[in-house]
Amino acid sequence: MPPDNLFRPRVVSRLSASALILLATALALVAGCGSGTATGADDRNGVMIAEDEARPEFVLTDTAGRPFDFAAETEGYLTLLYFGYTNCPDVCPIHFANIAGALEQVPSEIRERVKVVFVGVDPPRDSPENIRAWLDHFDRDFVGLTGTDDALSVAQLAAGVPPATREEPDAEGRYAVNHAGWVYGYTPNDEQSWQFPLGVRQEAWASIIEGLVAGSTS
Amino acid sequence: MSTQAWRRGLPYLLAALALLVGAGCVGADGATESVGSRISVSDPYIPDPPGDVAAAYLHISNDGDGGDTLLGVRSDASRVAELHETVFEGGSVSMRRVDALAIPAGETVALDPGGFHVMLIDPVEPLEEGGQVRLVLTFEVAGEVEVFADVVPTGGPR
Repeated sequence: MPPDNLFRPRVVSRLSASALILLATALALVAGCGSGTATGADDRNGVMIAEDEARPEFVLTDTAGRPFDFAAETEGYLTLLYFGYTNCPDVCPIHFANIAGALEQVPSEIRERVKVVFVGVDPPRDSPENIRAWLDHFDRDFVGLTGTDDALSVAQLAAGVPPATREEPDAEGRYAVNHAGWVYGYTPNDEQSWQFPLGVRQEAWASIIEGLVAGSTS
Repeated sequence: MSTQAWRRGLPYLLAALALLVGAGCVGADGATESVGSRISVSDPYIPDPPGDVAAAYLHISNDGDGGDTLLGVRSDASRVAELHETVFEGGSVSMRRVDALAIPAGETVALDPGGFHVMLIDPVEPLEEGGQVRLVLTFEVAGEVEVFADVVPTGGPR
């Protein structure tokens, strides 16, 4: 099955452009950011990809070496999930710096209802220690997971993301990793699944996080 | 001047020339301009990296009449510095190595997050916020252009 098809199954519904504008405006208002400086009302700040669908189920290993059941451990939290790798110089640190910065801005009662999960998809270099050190650069509360290639494949299939691949090493043994570029978001009670592209700024993330937590039913 | 005296004086002459060339390299606004061409490099920075690899971002302008090409970058801060491009395709993101980057006449090419960047691999010592890294960019026409990039908070501009 080509990767494009792997990516499709979780898409249940897409909001129309006008509904997205309404939602983005609502998010900005909820967050008290009505000045129009932060969120843009378009796909640049994320797209809702599913409604009323259970978050993906998979088990990987956390940075303390313990099994981590994603669905069970993150249940009830706004969960941001990202598949990346610790030798990623550009996209991964930008996403995580912005999310970490946003979480420092939001009220603590919002912050307490958020879990951020990074899955390292490059097992040869993404040891639990490396992932922990990488995440601690942003936020010590961020969860880091990894596993065997097989376990990672299962997790990526469950999440409906394009599966990561490692490129052929060059003469010095260095290689890049091709991986999912979006951050995935699951509201606390799985009312909505979102995907967020690179380019969501810290201010926008703060609005999004507050809006998705406050808009949840519990 | 005897041949011997000329030989003795040559190193000093070369040193003086090098000083002159070096002095001409830094513009008043801190941007760096190469001598004898219209390539300038501005706004260089390196986000404090969370791991063993870092990315340097900068802008390259060519105000001249002829095109130029960025052929490579080196840095004192890492054993390897490569030009890379982040490519988004079908929900995936990957990096490809760029061997030559065209800088057309009259244009500015941005090395910004999510696009082109200089990848610093295998740092000589950990990069720390507040530090500065010397980068030397080699252009086909303009030759070498030196620039100093500040190490800024992780993630760069937010």
